[in-house]
Amino acid sequence: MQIICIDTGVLSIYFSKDITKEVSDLIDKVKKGIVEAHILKPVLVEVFHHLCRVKGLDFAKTTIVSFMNQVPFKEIDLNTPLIIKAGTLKCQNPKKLSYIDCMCIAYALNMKIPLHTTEKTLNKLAGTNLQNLKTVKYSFID
Amino acid sequence: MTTREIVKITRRGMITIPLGLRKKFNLKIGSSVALIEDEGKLTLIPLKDVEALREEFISKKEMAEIIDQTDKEEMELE
Repeated sequence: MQIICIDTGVLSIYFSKDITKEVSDLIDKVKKGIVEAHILKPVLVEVFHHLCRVKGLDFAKTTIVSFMNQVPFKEIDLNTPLIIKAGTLKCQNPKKLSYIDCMCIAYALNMKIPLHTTEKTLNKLAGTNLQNLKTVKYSFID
Repeated sequence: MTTREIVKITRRGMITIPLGLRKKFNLKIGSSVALIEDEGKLTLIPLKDVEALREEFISKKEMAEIIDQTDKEEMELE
């Protein structure tokens, strides 16, 4: 089974009224067990924050907990190799990457799995291993 | 109904959610709730089909704006 890492942007498209077909198809594959999705716990915090900001705390709680219950993804904790690689990336790109971007990129590199992302310029950033980063890009624009 | 409701736990650990609260939160037979521990409190969160919530979500365009805004705020904090 293919293993992938999903970032905040892709999940945010999933939690949009006008979800794109690409993201809908991706989550369907995760639900059917065709694709194994790995999501870092800090990504879930960020998505929760976005939902909370626009729809309130109760809505964010219901949405995130329902998602975690209905979509069989793997929740990823930080570990030492991930902390070191994510910290290195942040050090190399302090103004271009958020901490969570760094964690997702580091996890995808360490696991040698593709990062499903809405970021457009990841491969052009500073970092010795970024040429090894495989990305599948999604857009907020249809 | 926004105030407290007191219920007793049965021998098998079950409680009855009062009718008013079941109606308010649209909890029917077969509905699922999550029990979340929160700073010494036990919080009950009604679960819903994410697809059923979709109409309540904002648009992708609005979501992209929120992400841009929060990214800027985060970078300013750093």
